[in-house]
Amino acid sequence: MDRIEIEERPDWRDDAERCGFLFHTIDGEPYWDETRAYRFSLAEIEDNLEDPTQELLSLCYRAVERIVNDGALMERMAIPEEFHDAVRQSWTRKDYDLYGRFDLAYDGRSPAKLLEFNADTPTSLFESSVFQWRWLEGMKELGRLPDEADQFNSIHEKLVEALPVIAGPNRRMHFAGVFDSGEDRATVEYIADCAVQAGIEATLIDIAHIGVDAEGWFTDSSDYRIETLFKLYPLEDMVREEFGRYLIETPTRIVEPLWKLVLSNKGLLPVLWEMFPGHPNLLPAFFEGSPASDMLGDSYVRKPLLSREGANVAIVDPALPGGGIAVDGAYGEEGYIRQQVQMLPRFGDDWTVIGSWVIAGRPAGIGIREDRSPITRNTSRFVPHFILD
Amino acid sequence: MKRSVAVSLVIMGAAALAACEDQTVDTAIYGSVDECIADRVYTPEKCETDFKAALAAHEKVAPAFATREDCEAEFGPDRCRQATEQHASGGFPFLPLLAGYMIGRTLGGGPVVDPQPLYRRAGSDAYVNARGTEVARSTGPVKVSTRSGVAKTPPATTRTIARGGFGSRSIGISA
Repeated sequence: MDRIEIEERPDWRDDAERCGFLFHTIDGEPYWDETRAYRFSLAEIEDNLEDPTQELLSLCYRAVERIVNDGALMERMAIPEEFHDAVRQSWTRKDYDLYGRFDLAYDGRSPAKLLEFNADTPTSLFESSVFQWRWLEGMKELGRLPDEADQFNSIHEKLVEALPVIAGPNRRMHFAGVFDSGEDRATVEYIADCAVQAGIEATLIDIAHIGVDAEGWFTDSSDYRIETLFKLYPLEDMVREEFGRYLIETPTRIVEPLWKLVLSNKGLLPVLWEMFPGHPNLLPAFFEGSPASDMLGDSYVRKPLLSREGANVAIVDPALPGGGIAVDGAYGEEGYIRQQVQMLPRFGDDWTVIGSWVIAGRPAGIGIREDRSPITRNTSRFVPHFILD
Repeated sequence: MKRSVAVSLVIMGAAALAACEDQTVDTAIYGSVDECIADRVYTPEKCETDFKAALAAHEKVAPAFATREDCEAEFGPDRCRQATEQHASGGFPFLPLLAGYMIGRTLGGGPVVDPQPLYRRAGSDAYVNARGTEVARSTGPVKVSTRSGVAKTPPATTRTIARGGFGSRSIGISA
């Protein structure tokens, strides 16, 4: 694994805009950055990222099995009590899930370590799946990368395969999100696009326009029942909102399903460590306040149970100036976990995190983010990768 | 190869990157199970099963009208009656009589054309589905595009009792 400086495609901004990828630059700062790229060997990808991703997913499934049968644990993870049965049933029924993204610290030498699992509303899907792919094709056409260069990225194919299974025989789905956010809207549109390619009738709806009928079905703006709802909107918010109570018995199928509440929660990390202590792809982690959390001493990463895009995450370390590094945010009232400090690898001045995608239970590819700060945030730049032995 | 063979977009962006294939499938419409069996294209079992599926869908998804007059204006005199089962819209509206049904087809393991109820519109006497889309002018074999509004049973409409109970988190997750 190394990072190389490489010339950007001359027309990539036009190409991005033609694809509907309008957030390639955010507030004047580059978000998509192809002035550099990461190169991996096939063995690094297959043995050190793809296999560990599958392994981590199977550990997660075992953790779900345990958590959904332990009311006290769900309580500790701030899953509201009235949802405990529904979460368990959703898991027992094997409600379909679509996707998730493991964030991994990997430097090409030591085993990849799981930092967290974005199991409910992972972002950077379009750039990983489509634009990164187009970059590789474009670079080959320009002769800047050899024909045999490959990429760990079958995200698009796997989405097109998975969606018809989720939509079921009626082949209809609704796709919801917060459409005031251009980035969220583009992500939802992209998944809907994959659905249309798979022969599904897709309807887009702003999450705030969803209704409910007398039988508990969710409905769209035209009063059609929503049979299957993909939502790019946090489950942990939905269960706390006015319509949250309808999620318990609605006949509408929700993707991601309720059992994902257990995985999209940082409380997963201490449960994994307790179940599989010393696993090479896990970091020691504990619920804050538990006696075991003292084992980490005065140096640890503090993460809220519910948080996104690095918000309210802090690296606490007396050896660092100011005692650590913290990112602001509005999360944290539900409690925290502590995780052993695992600094991200550095390439030049940048800290690098690998997002490893899972689509319908299978590893599907990676997307790399870089930041000048050791905590990855929503402004961290996306950098493409390729495989070349 | 570790990457997708092809990555296309059909609805995103100013220029969708590749159009997606539209397939035409052979099916047929019949006025009755007997007519289907007599045509000897489909097995009697298939004729029967698809009729039952269409009939089951009929009272739920048929075009619904508050009054008999409104219904007859669209479907003709004596071609409407009041629903006996609760319609998906919540009540017992006036519905056009079932005039026939379309045979369902599968392709590559998945259904591409649903068996569904058909109605005859006043004037032209054309067969239309519950969405009001014209399927054919007469019974017998018909070709249906898998992406057309004819291929699928329309979703059931209902009565929304409350709206706006999600979305209090007004910023997006990527914000």
